[in-house]
Amino acid sequence: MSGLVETLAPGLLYPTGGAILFALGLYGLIRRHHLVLRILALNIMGSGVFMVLLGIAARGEGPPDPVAQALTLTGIVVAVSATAFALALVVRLARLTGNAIILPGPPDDDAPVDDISRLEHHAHTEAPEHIEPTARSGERR
Amino acid sequence: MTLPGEAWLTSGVAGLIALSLLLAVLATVWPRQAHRIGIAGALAVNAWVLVLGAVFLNAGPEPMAAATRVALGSWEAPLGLMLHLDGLAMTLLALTAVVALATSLYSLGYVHDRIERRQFWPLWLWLWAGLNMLFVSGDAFNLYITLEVVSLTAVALVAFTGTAAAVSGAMRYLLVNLLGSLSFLMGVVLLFGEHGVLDLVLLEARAQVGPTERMAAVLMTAGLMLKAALFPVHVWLAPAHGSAPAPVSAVLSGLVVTGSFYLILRLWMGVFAPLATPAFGVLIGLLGVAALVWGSAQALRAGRLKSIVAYSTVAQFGYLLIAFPLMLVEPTAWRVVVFFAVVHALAKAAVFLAAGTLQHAAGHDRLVDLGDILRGRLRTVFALGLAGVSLMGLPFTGGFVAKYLLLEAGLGTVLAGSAIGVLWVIAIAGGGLLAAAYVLRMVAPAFHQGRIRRGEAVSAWMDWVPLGLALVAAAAGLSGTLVLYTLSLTPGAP
Repeated sequence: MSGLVETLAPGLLYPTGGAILFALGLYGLIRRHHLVLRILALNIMGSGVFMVLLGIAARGEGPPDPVAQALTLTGIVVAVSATAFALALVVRLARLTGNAIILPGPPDDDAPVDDISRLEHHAHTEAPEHIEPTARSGERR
Repeated sequence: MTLPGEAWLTSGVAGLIALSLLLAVLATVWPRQAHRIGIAGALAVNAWVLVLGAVFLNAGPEPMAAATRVALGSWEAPLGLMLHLDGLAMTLLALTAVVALATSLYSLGYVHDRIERRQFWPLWLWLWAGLNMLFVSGDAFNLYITLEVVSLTAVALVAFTGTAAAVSGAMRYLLVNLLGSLSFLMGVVLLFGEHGVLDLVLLEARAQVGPTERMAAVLMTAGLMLKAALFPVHVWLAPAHGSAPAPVSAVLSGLVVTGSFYLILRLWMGVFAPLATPAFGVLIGLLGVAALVWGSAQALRAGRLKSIVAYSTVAQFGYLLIAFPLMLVEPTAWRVVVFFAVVHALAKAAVFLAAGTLQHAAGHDRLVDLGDILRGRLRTVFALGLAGVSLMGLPFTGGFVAKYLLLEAGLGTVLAGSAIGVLWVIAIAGGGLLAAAYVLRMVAPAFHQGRIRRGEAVSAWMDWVPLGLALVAAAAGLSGTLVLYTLSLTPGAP
C-alpha cells in the first residue's frame, strides 16, 4: 500500500482523494437523516474540495502555488462559519421539536402560519430571547 | 481609458459596494438604529444607482467596448479581485435597488417589535450587500464568497420567526444552499486547476472544450440550479419561501433566486459558451416545460396564499429554462430572458408583499377563509391582481412585453426549422394561461358576495408599498426599450 502511495505523485493522489471525499460526503448528505451527520457530511465534501485545490497547487515542479493556499484558507473560514451557523440551527430545531431531523414529505398546506408582525402579542411564549435561558438551564441539568 | 465617464463609473461601482457594505456594518454595530440606517441607506443606494445608471448610459457605446473593470486595491487580475460592470450587471443592480427599497419601506411596518428590528435589519442589509457584490463580482472565487454571504443571511432571515416550521424550513434551505455552494466551489477549483486563473474574463479568453471544463460546467450549473430552485431540484423552495416573513419571501423569490439564475446565464454566455450544444439546450428546455407544468399544478392546488405564490416562482423560472434552447438559435434572446427575470422579480415581490399584508390582517393565509378580508382590503387585492396580471402577461404590463418577446424568439426558432420549437411556443403561451388560473384563484374570492372585514389594522407602509411596487412592475412594460438597450451594452455578449 505504501508503495502505491509513493508512486502516486501528490498532483494525482490529492485530487483523487479529494474527489473520493467529495463523493462520500455527498452520499452521506443524501443517505443520513440526523442533521449533525448531514452537516458533517457537508464538511467532508468541503475537505474534499480543499484537497483537490491543494493537490492542484502542488502539481508540477517548484514550490506550490500560494494563491491556492490562500483560497483554501478563505474557504476554511467560510466553512467554519457556515458549520457554526448550521449547528446553531440544529440546536434550535432540537429544542423546538425534540428532534434533530427534518421530517420528510411535502409541506403541509394547512399548517398554521408564522407571522412575526403578530408575535409581540404573545412574545413571552414565542420570542426567541425568552426560550433560550430556560432551555439552557434545562441542558445543564 | 482616461475618459471622464470611465473614471466616474469606476469610482461609482466601487463606491456602491463600499456604501452597501458600510450600511451593513453600521447596522450590525449599532442595532438600535438599524432601521433608520437601513431606510436612509436604501434611499442613498437608490440615488447612487440612479446616478450610476445615468452615467453608464451616457458613457455611450464607445467606452463600452470593454466593460468597466475595477481592480480592488489596484491589484490587477490574475492576482487581484476585479469588479465588473456591464449592461447586465447594471440592470440587475437597478432591479435590486428598487425591490430592496420597497421591501425596506414595507419592513418598517411589518417588523415593528424593538428586539426583532435589531435582528432583522443587520441581516437584511448584509443580504442586500451580498447581492450587490454578486452582480458586479468578476472573479470566480469571489463569486463563491458572495453566494455564501447571500445564502447564510437568507437562511437566517427564513429562520427569523424562530418557530418550529420556520427553523425547519431554514434548515432544509441551508443544507440545499451549502450543497449548491460546495458544488459551485468544486467547479471553480477545477477551472482554476485547468487554467490557473479565477478572473471570469481571463477564463473566458481561455475557454475551450475538454473533460475538465465539462465537469466544471456540470458541477457549477447543478449547484446554481439547486440554489435557484430550477426544476428538478426545486422542492425546497415552497417550504422556505412560504414560511419566511413576507418581506423576506419577497426578497428570496424576487432577488436571491434571480441572483443564482444571473450567474448561470453569465457563466454560459462566457466561460462555458463553447460547451453549449443543441442537445443540451433541448434538455434544459424540457426541464423548463416540466417546471412550468409542475409549479403551476402545485399552485393550482395549494391551500395557502403564500404557497401559491411560492409555487408560481418554480413555474415562472421554467420560462427562464425554456429560454436556453431559444438562445442557441437566436443568441440575442438572452436580453429578453433577463428582461423577463426583471419583470418577474418586481411582480413577484409585489405579490408576496400584498400576500403578507392580507395574512397580517387575517391572522392566517388559508385561502378558503380569506374571502372576507379580501373583500375588505381591496387596495391590497388590487396590488395582488395588478402584479398577478403582469405575471400572466396581459397587454400593457411588463409581463406582456417579456412574454411577447419570448414568443417571438420561440417562433423564430420554429421558422429556423426546429421542430421542437413548437413545444417551446406552446409552453410559453400555455404557461400564461396557467398563471392566469392561479392568479385568479387568489383574487376571485374578492368578487364573491359575503361578509366584509378589514381584519387587524396594518400600517400605512404595508397598505401602500405593495401597490406601489405592483405599479412599477406593470409600468416596466413601458421601460422595455430602456432595459433592452442597457442590456445591449454588455461587451462580449451577442
